Formats: sequence, C-alpha cells, structure tokens
Amino acid sequence: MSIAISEQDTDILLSTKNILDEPVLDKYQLAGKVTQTTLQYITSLINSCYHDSKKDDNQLFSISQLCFLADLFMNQLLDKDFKAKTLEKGIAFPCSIDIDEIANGWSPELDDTTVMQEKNKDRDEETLSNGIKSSLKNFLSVGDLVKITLGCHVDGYTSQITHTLCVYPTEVSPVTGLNQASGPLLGSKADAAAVAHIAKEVVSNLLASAATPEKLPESLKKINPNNEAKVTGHLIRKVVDHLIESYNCALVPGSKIRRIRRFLAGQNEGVVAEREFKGCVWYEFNQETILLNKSEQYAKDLNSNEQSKALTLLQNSENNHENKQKSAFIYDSAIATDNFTVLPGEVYLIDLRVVSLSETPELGLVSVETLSEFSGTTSTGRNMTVRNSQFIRDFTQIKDLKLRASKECLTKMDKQSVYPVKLTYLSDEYQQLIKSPIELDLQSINYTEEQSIIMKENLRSRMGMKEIMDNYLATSKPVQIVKYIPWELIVNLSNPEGVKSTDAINPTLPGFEIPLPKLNISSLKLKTLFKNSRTITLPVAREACTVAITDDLTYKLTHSEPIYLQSKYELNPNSELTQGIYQLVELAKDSRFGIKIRNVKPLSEKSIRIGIPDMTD
Amino acid sequence: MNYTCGACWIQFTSTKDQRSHMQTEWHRYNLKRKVADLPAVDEKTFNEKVAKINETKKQVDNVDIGTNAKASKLSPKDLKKLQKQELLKKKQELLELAKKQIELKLKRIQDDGSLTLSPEVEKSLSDKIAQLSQDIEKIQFKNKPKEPLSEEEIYRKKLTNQVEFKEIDCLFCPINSNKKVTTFEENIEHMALKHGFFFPEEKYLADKNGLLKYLSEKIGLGNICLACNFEGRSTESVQQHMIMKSHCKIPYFTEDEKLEISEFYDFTEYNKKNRFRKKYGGESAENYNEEEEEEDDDEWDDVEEEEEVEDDDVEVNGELVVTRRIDKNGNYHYEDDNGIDYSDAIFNSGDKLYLPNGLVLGHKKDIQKYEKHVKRERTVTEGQGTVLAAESRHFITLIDQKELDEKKRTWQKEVRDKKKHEKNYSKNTNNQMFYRDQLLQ
Repeated sequence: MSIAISEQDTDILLSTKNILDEPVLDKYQLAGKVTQTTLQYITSLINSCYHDSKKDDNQLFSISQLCFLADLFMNQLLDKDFKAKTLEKGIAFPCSIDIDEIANGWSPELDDTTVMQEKNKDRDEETLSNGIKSSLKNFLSVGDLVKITLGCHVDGYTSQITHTLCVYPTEVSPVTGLNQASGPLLGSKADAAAVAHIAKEVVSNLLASAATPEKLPESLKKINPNNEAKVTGHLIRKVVDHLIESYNCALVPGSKIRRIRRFLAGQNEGVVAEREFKGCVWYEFNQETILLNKSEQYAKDLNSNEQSKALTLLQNSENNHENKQKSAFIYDSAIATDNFTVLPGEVYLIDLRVVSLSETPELGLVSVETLSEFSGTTSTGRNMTVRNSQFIRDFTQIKDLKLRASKECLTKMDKQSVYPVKLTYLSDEYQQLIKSPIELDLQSINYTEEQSIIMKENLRSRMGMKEIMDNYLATSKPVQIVKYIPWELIVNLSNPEGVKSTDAINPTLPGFEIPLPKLNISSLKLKTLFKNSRTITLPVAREACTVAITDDLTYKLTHSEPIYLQSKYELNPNSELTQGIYQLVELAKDSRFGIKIRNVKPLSEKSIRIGIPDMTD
Repeated sequence: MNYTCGACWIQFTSTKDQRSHMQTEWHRYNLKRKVADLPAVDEKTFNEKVAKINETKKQVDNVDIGTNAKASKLSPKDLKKLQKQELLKKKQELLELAKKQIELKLKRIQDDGSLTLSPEVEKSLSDKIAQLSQDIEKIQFKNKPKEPLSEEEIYRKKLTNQVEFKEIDCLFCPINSNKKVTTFEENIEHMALKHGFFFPEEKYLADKNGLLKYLSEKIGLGNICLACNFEGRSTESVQQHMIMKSHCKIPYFTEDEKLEISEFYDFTEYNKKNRFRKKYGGESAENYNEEEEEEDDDEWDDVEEEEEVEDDDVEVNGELVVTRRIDKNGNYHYEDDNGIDYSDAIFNSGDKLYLPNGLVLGHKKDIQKYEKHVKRERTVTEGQGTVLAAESRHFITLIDQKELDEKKRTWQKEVRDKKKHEKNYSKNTNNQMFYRDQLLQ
C-alpha cells in the first residue's frame, strides 16, 4: 500500500491552512484559552491539597490523579466549545507533572504507580534522586520544583504551556488568616526558575518585534550579520545564551524555540522528521562549542605553548560536523539551523528547560538520560525503571495486526488525532465522562468508580498496544531526566569503537548522530557515563508558551505568572546585550509606540459554566 | 446352505426346492410385498389369507351369481358399454313412443278434428313414457360418479372418528393395548426401544409435550403418517402403516420438515455458541468438538454474516450476525443480537440480503469467501495527512500500485517473448530435411 499526499494537498495542508487569518487566529486563541484555564484548574487543585490545608495522604490528589483530572477537564472544556462543528480537537500534550530532575514525560496512568513501585522495589531509596523519589511515591513533597505541561488543539491549531511551580512550606498569615508560603524559593532551583521565566518573556518580546523589526534596539541589531533589522535565529540564540549564562545556568539539550504549524507542534519529534523545520534547538554540541571557545580563550590568555588537552583534541579531530550539517540542510530542511528569520504570520513555540550550575562541583556537560522501561538492563544503572504512558502513532508504518485487542486499539488511536495519546483516552468510560458536566467544586471531585472501570479497560488496551509497539506502528514518549557529566570524565573517555557507533534506540536527525563531534564522543559512550558515580542529577525549571505573530498584534496564547522566588543573580548592566534586552522590554511595555503584545486570557468562570467560548478580550 | 429366497426369508437344502418355491403363489405375493416395502409373510399366514379371500369371494359370487352373472364376467369397460347401449335403447323406445303419440294425434285430427286422444290410449302412452324416462334417469344416475364429500363433511367425519392420545399412550401401538407404561418418560422410552422413535435435536427441544401432542393429533385426528403423506382411513390403519413401513420417525431433513415443528424448538443457545466460535475462532478443543457435532444442522438457523463493506463501525465490532426466524405465517424475520429488526430488507436474492442502509448480508455458506482478507482503502484525516506531508524521512518509498503492476506485466511479457523466441529459433535450426549420419559424411 502506498501513501502519498499529492502535491496540491501538501500545499493546502502545509501552506494554505497555516495562513494566520481571522478564523485561524480564533482557533489558536480558543486553544490558548482552554490551555490556560486548565493550567489554572490544576494549579488550584495542587494549591487546595498541598498548600491551603494540612491533609493526610489519603485526601491528597496523587500525581496520576492530577494528570487524569487535568486531561478530563481539558477534554470537557473542548467538548463544550465548538460543539456544533465537527472539528478535530482534543489534547495535544497530555498533562505531565515532572518533578525536579525529570525533564519531560511523567504522566502516569492511574494504575502505573503501583506497577512502577513493584518494579523498583529492589532499589535503594538512598541512591534515588529527589524527583524520582517523589514521583515514585506519587505525591508531591515540599520543596519540589513541579513542571506542569499541558496543551490542546482546536482543528490542529495547537497551544502548549509549561509552567514551573514550587511546593512551598506553608504558615498561617497573620494578616489574612490564610495559609501562605513561608518564604520565597531560594538557591539553585530559584535561579533556574527565574531565568527560565525571564528568557521566555524576553524571547516572546523578541518574536513579537518581528512584525516591526525596525524598532529593535541597535545593540540587538548588531548581532545579525550585516546589522540587518530582522529577528534571526542567531539573534534569538545569542540573547537566550546571554540570559542563561548571566544566571549561571545552562540549557538542557532539547530546549527549543520553533515555529509550529497546523498539526505540527512538535508533538511527534523523534518520530517524524518534519519538513521545513524552522527554529533554534539546543544540543549537546552547543555546550561543547562554548567550552572549546572558553578553553581557546584560556590558552590565549595564558599565552603559553602548553595547550589544554581539549584544544589538542580540537585540532586533531576532523572538523566536518558543520559541513555535514550544511549539506544535510540542502537536502533536508528537517534539520534545525539558525539561518532563519522570524516573519509575521507565523506561530512560535518557546520551550526552555534550564538547570542551574551553581551547585555543581566541577565543569560539566548537561545531558538527558532516557529512563528505561525494562528492569535489569545495564544502562539503567542507579536509575529507576519506568512505564511510558504516552504513545505516538507513526502513520508511515503499515501493518496488519493479528490480535483483536490491538486492532481495536489502533482504530481508536487513529480516531484520536495525531497527538500523543494515553491509554485512558481510548477507554469508552473516559469518552462518556467527557460528555458529563464539568465538576467545578474541587472538594466534591470523586471519580473512583469511573477510574476503576477505566483501569480495567486499560488492561485490554495495553495488551493491544504491545503488538502495536512491536510492529513500530506507534512509539512511546520516553521519560527523561537531566544528568550532569563532568568534562573530565568525557575527555578521559577512551572511544575504541570510533564515532561511527550510533544509538539505535534514540534515533537522531542526520548530522546529529554524534552528540559531541569535536571530542569524538558517540552517543553510546556518553550513555555509559550516566552510570558513573561522579555524574549527578540536576533539578530543571521549564517554561513554555505559544506566541502567534500577526502584522499588527502579537498574541501570547499561553501566559503564566512567575512564582514567588528570589535569585542571587542578576543581569550585568554594563553589557551591551543586557542594555539591548532592557530596551526591548521597555518597548514591549510601551503600548503606543512599542511592540504590541496581547496576552490571551483564560476562560471566565461564567463561560466555563455556560459552555460558550468567550471570544471578546 | 446357499439356497435362499430373499423375498420370503427362508432357506432350502437343494436347488430343486428353491426352484419349485420360486414358482409358488406365496413367493410371488412376498415379492410384491417386498416391492411395497412390507415384511414377508410365512406360508401359513399366506394360506390363511388366501383361504379368507376365497371365502369372501365365494360369498360375493353367491350373492351376485343370480343377478349379475353376466356382468361379473365382464370388465368394467364392457359394463359401461353395455349400460350405454341399454340407455340408448331406452331412449329410442321413448322417442318411438312419442312419435306414435304424435302420429295418433295427427290421425285424430284428420279423422274427426278433435285434438285429444281417447282417454285409455292417452293414459297407456303417457304411462309408458313416464316409465321409460324414469328408467333413463335411473341408468344415468347409476353411471354418474359419486360426488366427493365436502371439506366440512370430511372434517366432521374425522372429528367423530378422532382418537385422543393421552400422555402415556404410545403413538404407534393400538390404543389402550399398552398397559405397562405409566409415565410420560416411560412412554417415550417405550417408543424409542420398540419403534425406534426419537426426537431430532433433542438438546434444543423446548416443548416436548407440545410436540408429542401435535404428533398424536396428526395421527389420531388427521390419520396421517408421520414420515410420508399417507392418509389412512382410520387411526389404526395409519398406525399399522407406520409400523409396517418403519415410519415411526419424525422427518428432519428438508427445510419444510424442519419448519413444521420449529415452534417447539429454541435455538438461541446454539446461536450464542456459534457466535462465540466466530469471535474467538473456536480455539479451545472442547468448544470445537461441540461445534463439530452440530455441524449438520448449521444450515437450519441461518446465522448470516456481514460482508465486509464500507461501514467503519461494523468493521470494528467484527461481523454482524443476523438470525433468521420464521413466524407462524411463514414470514421471515431478521434480527441481530440487540433485537434490531432487519426485516425491512430491500431485496433478498436467496443468499444475499440487501439492507436499506447499504449493507449486504451474506449467507453462511459463503463464509469462506467473506472471511478472505480484504484490504481496505485507507482514509487519511487532515491531521494525519499533514503529518505525512511534512514527513521527510527517506525510508518511505512511495509506490504506486498500478504502476508496479504495469511494470510486472511488462517484465513477464518480456520473459515470455524471450522464451518464445528461443524456442522458435531452436526449432528452426533443428529443422533438417533428411537425416545424415555424421560418420558417413
């Protein structure tokens, strides 16, 4: 069987449908509203049981419960809106709640936690890192940096939000008599969360200025080649790197600022190599480049003949990575480069994952490790075994399945859209729940009966999913944690297999098979270092939002307020770049002559109840 | 002792005896019985029968000898002829008399002008005419075939002759003869042992009493044989017929026969099992055996199956199973498990049922054809289309099936042409007019 989308259809699907006209913008706005409302909902859920009152564990909402409730709420909202029209709409990013070092993908099914506890019962509690411990317990604990990721789409127009929260210790306020946080978030976690928020805001301002690039401050224009007044990939990268560096932080590989299109919101990265990719992506080799530049500088400063080992390596290695990347770009626009200009009429996703380096003992590389689903493999090392809950359909694969359960599962999956699904979404009981009215009173939420039915239905789906996965018709989204590997370990690593060995489990785009090309370290080698005792985990802060740029106004589809924290770092006011950033922020505040930005607000409580989208701002 | 007679079920010690036996009337009689599917009778019974018949014949002869001595010798055809002649004669006489009467009247008119004859002559003539016409009527009436009884009369007659069977009465033994049987079960056992009577598909027989009652009415009231359509004069005659012809059974072969007693059966259980097998492929051995046993009557309950057609929902749930039921009026009803009625089918072509919603139900006998895997056209939603359009991985090869088929055909043709050419070539080069020995060159 052949699948081919004709040229005309391709043109319609990829270009015509992505023109940011009034109806499309409405859909984007609605998606943004629903996403924000759901974030509010889940935040209030967390506040109600973790902040507002002291409750024992039985009354708390567990992480899997929170994920379930958030998904349900979002689906119910979407079901109410646009009821008359039959559009593809639904969850684009299943609600995931990642704690501390977990970077993404923690959205357990209702029954997953017991299974994972069973799988990991042999592991020593002491060796587990904080985030994993909390996640395994299935409850948040005080001091956890909690990242909530959500997203929905209306007719394929997607909005995503990731917000970093913190579970504070509470005390009764003498003024209001209510519980309040006993103090701001401090330390490395605060640095990361602060800079993530700042970077997100600055980048969204920068993107917004794409409509009126002539207003860009001079110091920012200078970064562009030929001092052009445009918002380019180079500019964005420079600004972000500068901000992150000023807070002594680092970006986690996989952070990105990218253009999104209808049905293409980065939901199936790793499965699909998307054509005409536009955006900045941070990889491991960016950190390598920074390190090597530094060492070069250091060598120059020393003005001695003795050169660092890294520099020797640099000279010996064939510097063909750039060439490879260039040639790949010619043939395949799926590879991200900074050679792009942000244009009005495009929608961008800002997704930044930041770790603070202030508590690290030595210089090192920030990398992500994928947690294995199988116990007993050597690669897991001291980490836990997980069970992935999000599945992405790979539509290019065709295969006739044998089991009835898997056939049913696949049919249901295909009926869902192209976004990741959890098994819960496939359950009939859940689909019925969506039709039921929204429970707005947080105290009276009780879906025990329905949940037990859903768990039963999930068993059958899971059996079907097994065959689907075995035939590569779908892949699961991994749970990843952030690891910090000292450079010393990397540099001293012997690499007898050479750079040609690649990791088949985690496929990469052509040109990116080797994470550290200049040091000639293959991904398999890097993997072995994750087990080393000097490798540590770092808590991550993550902020994401969607920005739609039109000619006269920029819509911030998803917006979140910063949390209560205090960081000891601040931007260096003497730097030219910092001055430029300050000017940019001033411009964004100036509603008359500056950059025009509008925050899309969440749905009002009234419109949630009535179920009519509130399109007036 | 190889000398036997198959018709009379006897053995002989010598060929001579056998041959002489073959020439006897008894043997002929038994041959005729054999042809009529009746058991042979022994010589004694035969002789008794012959004696009995002879006696009755004699009596009849004695009665008839005086009156119809002549007629008894004539064949019915001749008799009819004779009667006709008689009738004709009588009619001619009548005509002559009438002629005479008219002549006389004319004479009288000529003689004295009066229109009436003398009273004596008139009376004698008219008497004769009346006598003759009466005779003619009589003969005509005699010749007329008897009028058949009307339905009502037959029914009334049958009702008066009805024999009612009780629960403990054997259907085949003469009534009230069987004193040993006391219960219904014993009765059934008796019938099974003695007459080889059994119920077909007993497992699904819901109303045994009802069925037995129906059968007893058939015999007792209708005087009809269970197995064939023989209608006896009385209950006894039918019973005798059934015993003699071993017709003590319920026919269960053709559709009509099955339909006749269908109201006493309940096949829902069987249908359920059947569906179970379809769903799960009859994997367990136990199930499979059960199904094997039931294979024979598969046709009966007509579980029909859905032909794979466009509807997506149906495809997901697997087959659509429709059960055909027949009500008392003989109309078909199509229902599926959920009780949805499919009786509003547009058209029933015998083995296919065309439903108004566009689905076509196929008959079970074509199950192999329908189960064959049919690849369905894949429809791509907008979302899937977008993702596919944006896909740039290289391993997706876009193969146009039509183009590939065309190519394959061309390749095949090329190979064939090549072979043909080689064959022709070798044939031509091998074509030598005369054989020449290489050594003699």
